[in-house]
Amino acid sequence: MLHRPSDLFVYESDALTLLRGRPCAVVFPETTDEVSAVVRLCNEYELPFVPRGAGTGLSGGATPVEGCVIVECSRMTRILEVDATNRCATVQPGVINAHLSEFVAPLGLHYAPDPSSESACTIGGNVAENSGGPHTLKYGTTSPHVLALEIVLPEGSVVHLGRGDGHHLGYDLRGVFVGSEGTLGIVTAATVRLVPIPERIEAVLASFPALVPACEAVSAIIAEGIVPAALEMMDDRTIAAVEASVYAAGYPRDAKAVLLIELDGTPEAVEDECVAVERICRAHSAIEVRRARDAEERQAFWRGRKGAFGAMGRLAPDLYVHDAVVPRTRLPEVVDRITRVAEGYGLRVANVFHAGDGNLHPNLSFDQRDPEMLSRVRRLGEEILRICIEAGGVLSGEHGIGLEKRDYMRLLFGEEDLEPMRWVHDTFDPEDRCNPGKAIPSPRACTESNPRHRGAAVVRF
Amino acid sequence: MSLAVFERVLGAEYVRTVDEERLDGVPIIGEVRPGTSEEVAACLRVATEEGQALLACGGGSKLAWGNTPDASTLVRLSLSRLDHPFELDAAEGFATAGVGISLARLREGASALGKCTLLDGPHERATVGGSVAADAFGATINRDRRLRDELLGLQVALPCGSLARAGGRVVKNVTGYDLVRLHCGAYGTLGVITDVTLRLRPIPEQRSILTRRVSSTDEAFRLAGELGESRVEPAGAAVRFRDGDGFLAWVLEGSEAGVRARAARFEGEIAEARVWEEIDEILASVPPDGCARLRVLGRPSDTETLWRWLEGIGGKPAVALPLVGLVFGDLVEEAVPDAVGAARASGTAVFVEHASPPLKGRIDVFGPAPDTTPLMRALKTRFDPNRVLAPGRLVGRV
Ligand SMILES: Cc1cc2nc3c(=O)[nH]c(=O)nc-3n(C[C@H](O)[C@H](O)[C@H](O)COP(=O)(O)OP(=O)(O)OC[C@H]3O[C@@H](n4cnc5c(N)ncnc54)[C@H](O)[C@@H]3O)c2cc1C
Ligand SMILES: Cc1cc2nc3c(=O)[nH]c(=O)nc-3n(C[C@H](O)[C@H](O)[C@H](O)COP(=O)(O)OP(=O)(O)OC[C@H]3O[C@@H](n4cnc5c(N)ncnc54)[C@H](O)[C@@H]3O)c2cc1C
Repeated sequence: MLHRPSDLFVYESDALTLLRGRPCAVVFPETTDEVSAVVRLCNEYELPFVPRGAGTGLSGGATPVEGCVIVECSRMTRILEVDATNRCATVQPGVINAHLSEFVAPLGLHYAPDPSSESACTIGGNVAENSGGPHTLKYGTTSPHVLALEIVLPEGSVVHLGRGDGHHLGYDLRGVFVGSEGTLGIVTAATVRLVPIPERIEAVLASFPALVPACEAVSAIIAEGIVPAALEMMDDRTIAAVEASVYAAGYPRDAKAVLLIELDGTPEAVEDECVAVERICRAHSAIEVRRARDAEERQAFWRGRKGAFGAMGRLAPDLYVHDAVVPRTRLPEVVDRITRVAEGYGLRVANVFHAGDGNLHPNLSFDQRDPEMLSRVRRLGEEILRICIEAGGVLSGEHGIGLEKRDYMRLLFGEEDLEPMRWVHDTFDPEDRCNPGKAIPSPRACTESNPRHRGAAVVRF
Repeated sequence: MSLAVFERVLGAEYVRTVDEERLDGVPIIGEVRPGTSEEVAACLRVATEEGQALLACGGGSKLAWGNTPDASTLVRLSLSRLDHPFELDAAEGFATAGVGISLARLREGASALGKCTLLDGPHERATVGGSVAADAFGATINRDRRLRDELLGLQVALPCGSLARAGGRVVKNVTGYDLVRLHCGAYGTLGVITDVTLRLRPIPEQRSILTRRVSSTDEAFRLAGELGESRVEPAGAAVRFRDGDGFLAWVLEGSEAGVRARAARFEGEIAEARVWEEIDEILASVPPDGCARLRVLGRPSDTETLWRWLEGIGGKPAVALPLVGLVFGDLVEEAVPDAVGAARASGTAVFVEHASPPLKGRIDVFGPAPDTTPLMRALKTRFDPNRVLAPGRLVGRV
């Protein structure tokens, strides 16, 4: 346990550092029983508590609620069982995403959801956020890969959601828990699916003179019935940032957009699909279409993509990684609008996105020491959400609502849509002790009267 | 109770008295047929005010599933008029369908665009809403093909009389709690779904059915195990065995080149589509009089054990789906209570899909209540405080 103010400093925020709060203590349980005991103590002393994995979240999900106990799962790193025959594994929540895949690789298996933060983020955090990754296009987000969960409920008892065999009788509480952002309890074990490592993987890099033909190529690939494993897009600012960084991947610097397309499956099918993808890109005026010669070059292509956020970090002291989804066919016009609106705010946006899913990450570089600039970033952030929702999109594709977007939920949902979410919340956590004030906005009237619902933010973003 | 309250909401034309119909022995006294989602919500509000239990009904093909409703009478809420919206967007890859739309119509609409959905079921009567509410599936199932993973959004009418949306129309969405999954498989006990948005998928270029004749179940399950661990990745697989003769069948879907390559990896004879349709028909069939239909569940590698367990208690296993660990078969009704007890003792999960009302009165068809039952009960109370939506039907009789 940590409780000295100097030790607590690093726990004041997750990767959305604009939002901060002060916990009263951080505890590091190792077993389910310890988590349960901590939670019971919190109940006894009427303390709120906040589950935490690696703190890589980007929506303030793990931001401390003032005076809370942080329950960090970083010591719960045991892989409890691997069942190669049934292709599943049971792990403690602190297991790092990429470690699980490394661990089961000798069996020819891997854990499919692969957030760009895979080398740091935890399975518990992934479950709580229903995290996605580049390969979500083909393999889905976290939820389809979670068979069962052991959780400690907000009052301290242990229950099992879902069944390890993947069948489902009764309410799908497992499905509801995944993506609940640490507000319904603490995951203490997760049984997740493992999938065979693809036999053949090919990566194609195509560069375009403008964003629009690149987006059209994406739609054309999908219209052809091809389901690539990944379909990622980067715009010129991202390309420039990546190429100037240690993540340099050899992306053509003169391109306005780069598409990274990965295909996997049986060698025969992948070869056919690769040829088709290359043809489609050329037909959409690609400047250059390049297939990775070998695994090494493929990894280099990906290094740039996965390091993009890090690379952008060099452009300014702070980076705001935004996340929203629009219908795929609306991507070009939405990106264009966002660019123009950003110019109006005197800000520059660098776009990286999961183009196949319509999942946008407009990234804003800024300096939070400049309050006026911070305010512009905040306003632009909200405007981006409005643009996306107007286009038929949603508030988040993978980073979650947390504190960052909680008060924007009403842009998308009416009270009648939010009310059932509160029923679910109150069923699991009637005392409102577990990560209170996150994800779901309280009914309007309560926001002022209940200080907890104002959330933790010292800097209100 | 008088049905007049529903007439005030829907008009007399869409409310009728029903005689001599029962569900699990509970009299169905009337039928209401709302034509819009708002009317569905209004019916729920009225039912809540009056304390009248309702039973949502799509095609009516799976009303046998679930525990005996805990109500003195039921009013059937027929959703057949909710055949709108019906919007298919091939470019975005989604279909939004009113819950009363039949699976056949959905299939026609999608295939006209070169697309299909996971709801490509064979049942002519079955509806989109009933399939989602019952988390339905056919024989073409593996762990990558789950209906709940294909749903993008839905609208649901709630007992308090409001309409709530969950999810959206985009394929990636983590905006608040995932209530889409909550209603999938809830048998209409938390709300009545009024429309559903699900993914449209490309129609596979090639679909092949392959079979291997077997002379024993040992052989069938040995082969099924090899198939499951192979890199053939079938979309579905089934074992059928009767009177010393049977087969393992599997379906391959994908590009022509992909299917050809995967077919070459595990030897089998090309079979007609009919072979596979028959498996679906067995799954959809009703057991003979005096027998109950059991669904026995486990891990894929348990499938053979589940089959033997069902044989061991005197049942007749009909079909196994080894990729997902399911066995279906019939058992004479007298033997069911003991079988349910034996299942509990051995930790085998059994769902009694079909049984006569007297038998259903004696057992929980889903087996022993799981440790989440108090949570499920609390959830039911929040959504449906007056217990008007098929009360008592689900796991733990919530
Ligand atoms: C560079 C970078 C790249 C990223 N790329 C992606 C990406 O591609 N896709 C993507 O989806 N996300 C991405 N993220 C966001 C983030 O990594 C994910 O949300 C991740 O799942 C968070 O995991 P974590 O262990 O760091 O959780 P934390 O940040 O510690 O917590 C996240 C949320 O989960 C809850 N939580 C944590 N552990 C538990 C538990 N055991 N039980 C219950 N609740 C728990 C917390 O309360 C909090 O609400 C990225 C982040 C960074 C910094
Ligand atoms: C791909 C696929 C393949 C299939 N293959 C087979 C097969 O091989 N064998 C087989 O037996 N079945 C199969 N089915 C299932 C078949 O389609 C079912 O008959 C279907 O699930 C039930 O539809 P229904 O409209 O008749 O539902 P109903 O029987 O009317 O309702 C089923 C349940 O849902 C509730 N309900 C109905 N509508 C709603 C609503 N709008 N909101 C809330 N609750 C509601 C009812 O109260 C009831 O509890 C398959 C389904 C699919 C999707």
